Amino acid sequence: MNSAWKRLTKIHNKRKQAPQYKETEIKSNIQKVSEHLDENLKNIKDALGNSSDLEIREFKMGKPSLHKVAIIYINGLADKNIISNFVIERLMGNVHNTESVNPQSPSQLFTYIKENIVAVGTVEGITDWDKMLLSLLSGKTILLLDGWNQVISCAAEGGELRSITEPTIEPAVRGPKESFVESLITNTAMIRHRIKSPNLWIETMKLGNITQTDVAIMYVKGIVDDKLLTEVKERIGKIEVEEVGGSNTIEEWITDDTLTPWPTMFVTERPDVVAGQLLEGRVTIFVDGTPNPIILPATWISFFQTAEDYYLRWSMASFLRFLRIVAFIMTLFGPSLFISFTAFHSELIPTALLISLAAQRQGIPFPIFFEALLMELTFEVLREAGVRMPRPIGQAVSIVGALVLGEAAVAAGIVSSAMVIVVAGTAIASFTIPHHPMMDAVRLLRFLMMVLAASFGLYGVGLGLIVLVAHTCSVRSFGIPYLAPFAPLIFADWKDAFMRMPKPFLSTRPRLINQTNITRTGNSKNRGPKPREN
Amino acid sequence: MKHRPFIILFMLLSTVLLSGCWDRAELQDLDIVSAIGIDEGSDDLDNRYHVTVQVINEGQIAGVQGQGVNGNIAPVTIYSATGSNVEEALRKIAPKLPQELFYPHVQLLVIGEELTRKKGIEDLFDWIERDTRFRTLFPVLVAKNSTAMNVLQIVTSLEPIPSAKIVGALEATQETWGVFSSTRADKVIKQLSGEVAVLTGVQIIGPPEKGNSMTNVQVIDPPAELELLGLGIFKRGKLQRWLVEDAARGAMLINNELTKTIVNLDCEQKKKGIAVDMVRSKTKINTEIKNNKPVFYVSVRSESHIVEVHCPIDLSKHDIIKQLEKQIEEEIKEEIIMAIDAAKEEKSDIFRFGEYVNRKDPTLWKEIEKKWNDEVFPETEVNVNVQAFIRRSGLRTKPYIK
Repeated sequence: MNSAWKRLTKIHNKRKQAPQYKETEIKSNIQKVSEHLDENLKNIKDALGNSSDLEIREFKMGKPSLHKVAIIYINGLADKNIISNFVIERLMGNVHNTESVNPQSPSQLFTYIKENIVAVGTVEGITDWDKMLLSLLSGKTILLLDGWNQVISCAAEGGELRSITEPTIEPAVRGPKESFVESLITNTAMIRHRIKSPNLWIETMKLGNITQTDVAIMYVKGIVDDKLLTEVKERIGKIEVEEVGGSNTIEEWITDDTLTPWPTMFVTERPDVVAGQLLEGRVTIFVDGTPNPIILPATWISFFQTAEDYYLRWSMASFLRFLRIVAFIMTLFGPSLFISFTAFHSELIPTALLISLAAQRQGIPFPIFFEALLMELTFEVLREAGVRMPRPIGQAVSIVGALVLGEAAVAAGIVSSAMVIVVAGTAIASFTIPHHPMMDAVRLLRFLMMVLAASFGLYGVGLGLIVLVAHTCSVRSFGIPYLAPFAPLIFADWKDAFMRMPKPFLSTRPRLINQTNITRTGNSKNRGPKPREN
Repeated sequence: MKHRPFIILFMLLSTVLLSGCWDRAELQDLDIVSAIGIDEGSDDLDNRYHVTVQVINEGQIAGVQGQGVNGNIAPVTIYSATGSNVEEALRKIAPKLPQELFYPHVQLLVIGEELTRKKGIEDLFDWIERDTRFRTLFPVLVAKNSTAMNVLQIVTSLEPIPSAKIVGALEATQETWGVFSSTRADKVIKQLSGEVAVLTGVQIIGPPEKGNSMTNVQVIDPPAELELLGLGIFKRGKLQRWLVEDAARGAMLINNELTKTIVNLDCEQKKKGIAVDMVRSKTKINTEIKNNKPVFYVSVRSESHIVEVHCPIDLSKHDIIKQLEKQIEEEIKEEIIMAIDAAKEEKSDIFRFGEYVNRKDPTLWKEIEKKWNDEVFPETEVNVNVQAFIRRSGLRTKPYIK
């Protein structure tokens, strides 16, 4: 336990002291591209361990066929149609036909090919060996020319990508029906599509010493707080890993506080949420290969806001938000309050209810805490089984869970039906928390509260609440107090906290997140529809 | 410093684990007491009080899936013991019980009439107030012509818990008939700190021994039933006299505790042929000091609706309504005077008129305080003034009979 603690704090400190942003590269012995085609090809094959997905096409071009040329690409990453139609076809055909411009020296030929022949969007001459390998592995097509120490990298990426689908984790009845995919470029394009402003800036970098994953920082210049941006870049610069598995890797490296139960960064799969958050002055980090960009800074209340809130009428949206917060409290305190009332403070239960509860508990062999723990753990096991099981079997899990563990346990007198109601109510309440990281935090904290309730009754729950609130007050997400706008109290921002005011009233951005450009553009004073003129 | 996380962890763990779950008491380990009865024990010191507890048999009240309610098992059980004080007797019950007695849900306290007449109840309530396990919000009733134990062992119909039935009857009576006050323990204690107290009575109709069996509720007309009846006047903790019916209602009116009741009026030849529902009444008591003697003016303002008429009178006529109002005024006045006369006879100021004197003239009150109940109050002049209004005549004006 001690060593684990130390390791955590060590990582924490190391992250704080780590050096500035460092370019990470594939390291190999060869520095430059050779003049000899055969040598280059051999070296590439060696570097990739003669992998089977490496495609090499050698041919001769020019008249007389003097020039040996090779095209290499990774099978599956490159678009074969583009390569054959706009690179190979043109190289073989054109050079034969246009004899008048038949460059003889390799350097002339190289320039000629680069400027006149290869018909793809982006073409780049590369001399550096490692850079060549990286662009090959990124899906580009490399054109090597015998006798010249440069290669041409053609952007002809392709391959199979998942198409844009409906959001599954954050569905909305009304509003856009698209969610992010794994491709970084598709994702950024979705945002561009929504914010057609030159001020939407994207900065891309490669992270992960081995994976070389593209990571893009997106923000709206002029709205974002420059200090926040510098902080984000600085923290990302300190990341030193082999592998960036997903946005979660970034999240865990750059978080303010590892030892808090609360999520300090917001993750979404909806482009409209990202667009909205960007315009509040937040920063979004996209990671290639992950359909869940990170939005930061995040506050506690933002985990209770859903995309749908902004598509429903304001009254309904406010009611639903209130409901979610009530459900949050129910999830956090439901079982613990039940334990403390029944085991410690039976005098606080109305007589009729007490009699009913006592009747149910007659013959139950376990103390109430153990009973609660048993049911809660059973529920968590069922939930995990439902998530992990393949979908057709998942059905069976829910039937077994509901029937066997619910009804049979009560009928057998192992658990009381009141406990089943409490556990089921808590479970359903937990599902209304719209964002998974917050739901997970509550799922864990609930057990802590139960232990406190079992030891000290309501006093324990009260104590736990005090400690939890005190801790939550101290949490920061990129310097922003986690409980804003409640602590510190910023009434102006309550318009989009517990309730969502009608859109014309949402004329300012959250004050702490954005400190310079607070007022949204547009005539904010002219609230609501104008009276009709006769 | 090196071990700090360890020490913190150790401290946290020990607070949780060493506390031994503090004063946890599982529901199945509690016997919920629904009512307590106190009776005269005997003259020797060790058995001064005979205390009975009525314990709820939860499984018989709330049927649970798979267990069900068994009609042959009583919903409550009583246990009793004697002791030189109440608490001792309560503790002496423990050996007879499977679990620990749990008092916060006591709904009723019944005191046997014999005890109220012989030993008195002046010193009986200290434990209720002192002990944290009790709330002082349950009513205290006197078992009229019976013992508390007998009252607590009647199986009641419709409401399986007898104490819940009595409490329910108290509330319902106050809402509709208005003759009894629900004398809550805290109110009783406040009254007992003076000289005079008023407690509501409860009595058994029919043979008590027949009530102590489930067969009592297996018939449509139970042979033994519980009924609220009368207000008992207590002086220095001892029961003096029962006020019933009209006099009791008069006392309730003076104390401003009456919410709703029915007043009967004469209509033409038919005596008591009209029923009037009194829906609001407010009593004000004014005091004047004349010749060093207090004089009280009780003024009642009441509003009623006509609910039943048995003779052909035209209720749309203003004069007739006026006449009826006059009748109500007289009726109420009569009842109030009956109550006052009864109190004077017992030399017990059940209306706490003394308080008004104290407020009006503290120096005079200091003088007469000692002899107030016995000498001054019975001689005091009380003037009654009633104003009655009939607000509506129900859904029709003229009765259908001609």
